[in-house]
Amino acid sequence: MVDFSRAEKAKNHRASFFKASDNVILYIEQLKNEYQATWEKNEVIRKQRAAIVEDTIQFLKSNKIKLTKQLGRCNNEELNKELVDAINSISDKEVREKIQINLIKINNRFEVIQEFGSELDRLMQTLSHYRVPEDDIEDEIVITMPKKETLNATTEETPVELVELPKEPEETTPESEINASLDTEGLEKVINIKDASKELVSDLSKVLDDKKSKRTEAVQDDDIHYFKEEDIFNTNELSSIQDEVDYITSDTLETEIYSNDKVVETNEEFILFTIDDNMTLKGIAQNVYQDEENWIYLYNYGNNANKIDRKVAEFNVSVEEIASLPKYLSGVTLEFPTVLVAKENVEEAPMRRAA
Amino acid sequence: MIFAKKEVIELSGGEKYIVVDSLNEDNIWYYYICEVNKDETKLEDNFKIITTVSENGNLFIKTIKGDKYTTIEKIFKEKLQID
Repeated sequence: MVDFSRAEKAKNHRASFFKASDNVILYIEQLKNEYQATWEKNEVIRKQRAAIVEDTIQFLKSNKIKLTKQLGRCNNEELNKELVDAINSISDKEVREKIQINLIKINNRFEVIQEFGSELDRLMQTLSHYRVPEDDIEDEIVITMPKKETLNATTEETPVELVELPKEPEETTPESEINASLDTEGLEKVINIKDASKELVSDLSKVLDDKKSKRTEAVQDDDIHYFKEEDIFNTNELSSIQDEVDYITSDTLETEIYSNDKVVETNEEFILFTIDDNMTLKGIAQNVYQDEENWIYLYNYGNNANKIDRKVAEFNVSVEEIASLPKYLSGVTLEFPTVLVAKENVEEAPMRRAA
Repeated sequence: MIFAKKEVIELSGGEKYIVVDSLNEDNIWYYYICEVNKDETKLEDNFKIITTVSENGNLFIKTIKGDKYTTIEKIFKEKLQID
C-alpha cells in the first residue's frame, strides 16, 4: 500500500485514480454515443418496415384479402407465413406481385434490423463489464480495471473486478441460409412473361413423354388384365401392343361390338386396355400409333370420351392434361382400335377370330 | 407463385425459358424451367431450377445449384415421372 503520510505519494495516488476514472468515464461515454448512433439508424429502418407493413395491410383490405392473424400483431416469422399464404391464394398476378414485393422489402429491412440489434447487444455486453455491483461490501469497493493502452501504467494499478453477466448464446446464421447463399447463381432480370405457343407446348409434351418413355419399364404379361388373342388385325399398327398385350376372345369381342350402339366404326376390331400409372394417352398414341396427335382420335373412339370426360370432371383439368400427364387415367380401361382411322374413312373390315 | 406452368419467361440477356413445373418447399416457390429457341417453337433440352426475387418493382430469377438443386430436381423428376 502506498504510504499516504507522504504528501507526494498521496497526491500521485490521487492523480492516478482520477485519471483512471476519467478514462473509464470517457470510454463509457464513447460506448453510449456508439449505442445511440446505432439505435437511431435502427429506428429509421424500423419505421420504414412499419410503413411498408401498414401499406400492405391497407392493400390487403382494399383487395378484400383476409388473413388468419392481423399483420400488426405478427412477428416477422408469422408475418411471412400470413403473406405467403395470401400470395398462394391469389390468382391476380398484379396483386400477387405487389404483396411479393412488399414482403421482400419487409424481410430486407428485418435483416438490417437484426444486424443493428446484434450491434446494440454487443455494446450492452461491453457495458455490463463496468456495471457497479448493487450490494457493496460495507466500506470496501474492489474495482479491477481491464487492461487498456489508455490507462496510466506508471502508478500502481488498482484491480477492477469485472462483473460478468451470463452470456447469451451467439446468434449464428442458420446453416440453411449459409448453404442457400452458396447454392444460387447471380440474378437475371425478367423482362417478359407470356403464354407458350401451341407448338411449344406440343414440343414440351413430346420432350417429357420421351423422358417418361425411357423411364417406363416394359409391361409384363402379369400386368395386363384383359385379352387372349394371338392373331391381330393389323400387324403394323399393333406391333408394339402385340408384344405386350393379350386380346379378349373373339366371341366376347363380337358381342360387345354389335351390341354397342356407340361404336362408330362398325365391324372395327378394338382391344380393351387398362392404363397404368406410368402411361398416358399421348404416350400410347406415339408409341403404338406413331403419332402423338392421334390421342384425339383415341379420345373420341368408342366409349373412351365418356370415361375420359368423367376423369376430367373428377380432377378438374383439361382433356389435354388428362391425356398428357400420367396417373390421371390410371386404372381406366379404354378401347384401342386395331386399325386407327378417321371417322370419315371408316370401312368395313373383316373380323378376325382369336385362335 | 409468380410463374404458371407453360408460361415463357424472357430474360434481359435474351434467353427464353418455358416453365415446366413448379413446387413449394419450405415456403419457397421453385420452378423447373427449360430453355427454348428464339422462335419459341422448340425446347433446347437445357433444364434449370430457379426461384424469384422481386425488388423495386423488378422481377429477377435466381438459378439454384449444388445440393439444393440435386434435392429439388429429384422431387421434380418424381413429380413429372421423368429421368
